[in-house]
Amino acid sequence: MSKGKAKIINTMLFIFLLILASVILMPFLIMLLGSVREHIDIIIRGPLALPKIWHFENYYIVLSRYRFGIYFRNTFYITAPTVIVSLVFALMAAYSFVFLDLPFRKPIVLISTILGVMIASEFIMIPLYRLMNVFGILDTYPAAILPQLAMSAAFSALILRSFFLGLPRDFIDAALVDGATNWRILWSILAPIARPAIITSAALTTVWTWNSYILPLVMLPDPMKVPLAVGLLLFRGTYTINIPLTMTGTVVTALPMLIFYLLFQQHIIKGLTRGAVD
Amino acid sequence: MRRDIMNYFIPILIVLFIFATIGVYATGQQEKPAKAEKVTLQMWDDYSGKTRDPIVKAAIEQFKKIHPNVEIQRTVRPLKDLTSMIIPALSAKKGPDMMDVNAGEQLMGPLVRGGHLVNLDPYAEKYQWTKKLLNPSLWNRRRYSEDGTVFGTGHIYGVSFDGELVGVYYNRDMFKNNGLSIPGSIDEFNATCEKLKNAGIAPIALAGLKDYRFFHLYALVQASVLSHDMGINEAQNYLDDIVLRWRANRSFMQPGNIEAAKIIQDWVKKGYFVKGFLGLSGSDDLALFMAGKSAMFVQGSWYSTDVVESKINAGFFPFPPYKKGEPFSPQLGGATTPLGISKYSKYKDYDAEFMNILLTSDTTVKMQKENSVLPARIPVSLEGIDRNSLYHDILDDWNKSNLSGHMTYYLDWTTPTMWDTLAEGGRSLMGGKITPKEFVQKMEDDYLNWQKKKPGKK
Amino acid sequence: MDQKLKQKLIALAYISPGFITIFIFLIYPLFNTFRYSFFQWDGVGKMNFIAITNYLRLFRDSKFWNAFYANIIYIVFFSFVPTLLGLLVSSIIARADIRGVRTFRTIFFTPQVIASVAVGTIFGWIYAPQFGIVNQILSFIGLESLQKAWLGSASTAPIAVGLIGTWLWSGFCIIIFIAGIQKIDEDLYSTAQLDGANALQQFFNITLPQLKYEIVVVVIMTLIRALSTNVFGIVQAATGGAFNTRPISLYAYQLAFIQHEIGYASTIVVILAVIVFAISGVSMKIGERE
Repeated sequence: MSKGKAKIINTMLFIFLLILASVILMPFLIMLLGSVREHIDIIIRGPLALPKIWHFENYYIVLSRYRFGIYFRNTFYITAPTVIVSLVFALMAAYSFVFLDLPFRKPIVLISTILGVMIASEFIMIPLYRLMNVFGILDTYPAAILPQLAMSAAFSALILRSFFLGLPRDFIDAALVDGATNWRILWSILAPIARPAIITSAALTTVWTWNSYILPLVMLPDPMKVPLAVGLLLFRGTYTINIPLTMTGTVVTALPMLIFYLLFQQHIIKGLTRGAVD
Repeated sequence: MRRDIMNYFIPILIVLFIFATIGVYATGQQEKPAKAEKVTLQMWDDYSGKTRDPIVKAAIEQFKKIHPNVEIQRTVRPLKDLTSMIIPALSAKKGPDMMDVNAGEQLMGPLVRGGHLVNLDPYAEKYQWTKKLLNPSLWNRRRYSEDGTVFGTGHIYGVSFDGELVGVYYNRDMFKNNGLSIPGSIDEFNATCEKLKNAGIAPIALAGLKDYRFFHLYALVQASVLSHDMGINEAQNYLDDIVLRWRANRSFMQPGNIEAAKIIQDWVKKGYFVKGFLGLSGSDDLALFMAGKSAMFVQGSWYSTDVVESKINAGFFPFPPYKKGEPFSPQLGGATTPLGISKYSKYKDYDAEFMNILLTSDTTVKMQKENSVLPARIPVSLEGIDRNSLYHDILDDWNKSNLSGHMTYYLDWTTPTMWDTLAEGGRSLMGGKITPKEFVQKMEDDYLNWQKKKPGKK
Repeated sequence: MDQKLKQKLIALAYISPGFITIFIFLIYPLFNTFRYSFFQWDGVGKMNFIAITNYLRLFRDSKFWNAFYANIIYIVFFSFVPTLLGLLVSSIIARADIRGVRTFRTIFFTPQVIASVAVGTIFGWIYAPQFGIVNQILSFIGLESLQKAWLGSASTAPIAVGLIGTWLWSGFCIIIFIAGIQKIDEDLYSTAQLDGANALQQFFNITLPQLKYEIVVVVIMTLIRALSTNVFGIVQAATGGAFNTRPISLYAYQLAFIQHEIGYASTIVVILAVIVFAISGVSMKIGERE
């Protein structure tokens, strides 16, 4: 292939990517625009038109009048423990799945990971609520955290297990011969290697926990404990919905996750691919 | 040995830690109520927005003045989300002290049958709610038999502090510019639509993807046709028998029901709805009306503040009777989502006392009139309200409806599956996939199915 | 202590924190759901044991089957189409030298962070009959005759909603597959080129087998989401389930909390669980076979 030809092809590919990217980005743009426009304006001039009047005050309203500051804090209270503890559990479980002599390995792996990942909290709400009532922790953060933690642990265990499966067994055995404990092997040898997979799991479980809505809705009726995703409901009544404020609220909710992704994107991507040591 | 410790104990310690955390929280929780005479009442409601939220807040303020030791903590969510909170909560005999209990089989029925709601009759007696508020037929919609098997009779299980009315919002300028006045019959309504269409104006905005848009409209047309067919009193009886009492000898297969469906289907054929309305979602139809893209919008008084804030000059009229000169046909509406008291509330008297302030205080009525809400204390004096305002129109209809003693129902109350049947059937009807008769047959099938499994039927 | 037994106990100890949490907070409640599926129950009243009546009802319930078909469409558009699209795009661009790949990757991730309620509303506007973007584009390129109320008929609505899923997941698939391809040993491709393999052969003989793990992860993830909640939120906000767009998960939710048929809703959840379990199990098997 000549250099000139390659250049033309690359340019064409670039244009193709540009089109693809604009299609993917369009709804995001509509959301950003929608957050500073009036609903009527969207209906008259279409969702992509620039606003005639920029209603930046929507952000001020959302952040001040609607206690979104508190919702941020609450979301953090729910997300941080969920992600951190679930990762610890998942690392231990994945280590056991792959490197230890686990009895009934296959069924345990299948049940805990797949079932854990697939159970949508909507469908176990009633038994779950009763359980939390028995534990006496309704309307406290753990009631919203623990089931989310379980789901996140299952998902992360699935990712980490796949990562560990791609690792050579030799150096674990070598470490065992050296007399290292399992605990040390896991945290001093495996965890650093598994960093990309850990970050990936962390990133995805963070995004999901951040946006999860039905668990906190039901488990945390206390208005001062509500996270962002439930806070978005404040812009909706039974019949009415304030579209601009909903969009603003969604931007405010989504932005931290986007920044989070920008910071960690290299690692996030790495972790989802095979567990090669590199 | 050290190795063993590392191998076993750390995982086990973690497990113990989880349970310890739960335990700490649990004990922390249980201590709370025992602590002092400081009382917190929990209230889960959907009274949001500029129109109702301030009124509830004002009532809480008044109540706090009388009982400084009692805190009322509200959790405000849309009705749908409230339902998914209330069911697990009451199922575990927990939950709030006061909550929204949507009428009929939507929520009130199952809750009464489960024995989760407090019979409010003694409080209604004590505070004279039935005398001060609403009319007897509207109170019936708050009643269930004690075993929860019959709707519309028996004890009161919920109370409402304001009303709502579904009618026709119209763009006054568009009407004036085209020489139109408020239609006095269905024929005139048709003529109005025709004239608007010929003038290049879309007559009615309706979002086909918003389930209840269709069946609110249908209920209005149906009541109008039935009142003509049967006479207004018998029409009201018929609707009461079907929606409230689930009488087995009543049937949806009525010529009037079919004709009502045909009228709406004809509107679609004649192009009286905005273009592509079946694919319109959310509240985009309201936005179209407010943007001046349609002349009419058939919906509830709950949108009045939104409409007032838009730039159009809007009015409101009741759906007309079938023939000109016939009496005011039953309109769609009633009292809004009622508030009930949970059996598991420890402070039922406080609950009722607060509810009384919310329901009957002068502040409530004053604020309701300031915020364009329909007060439950009827009739409402129109004094001091701008004659040309939208609110005046709506309030006037509200008074007339209450005075007539007739009002039709949200048909989805009839059976638990009726919402779905009406939504799906309505879209098929408007999309021309089924005939008016087939549409009514769908409602009939749903009704017959309910006859087999309605409560009390073994 | 027996050395072997000891090893087994250690292994069990390591999975116990995660397993116990999952067991208590997910599996045990799911088991209860399974139990409810044999009852007629409105959630707040008395429970009537009705054996397998709910399961029999399933076969006659046309609404369930409508939801089932909708879900098949969603599986195609939420899972298979993004995976294929991701493979196609990534295999073309991964090894080319294109500027700004980093920026593109960031853009491709953005759909993930938007709450599903907003996603539904936004796509409502994109597909809207009068002012919607799709119809505006059609009018711009002179194809006004093709304008439709995209969400307003049973023939287009399910696919239109499905395409929301394609939008949601394609970027994600591309990101992952690009990273996967970039890890493949470049020598494999050079050797193949020397042997005279064309681009297509290279794709099938090298790229596809080497990407097996990434494909399995992506397919399991998107499949599960297509069957459970992800779709649910989007559909609820976009169409409310009208025009055959209601997926099984939304149907079960409406049965439980609107029609108060907790027993029957539980039955559907059980069926949903079995389907997801089977599909994921098979995908995992395929992915790990060497």
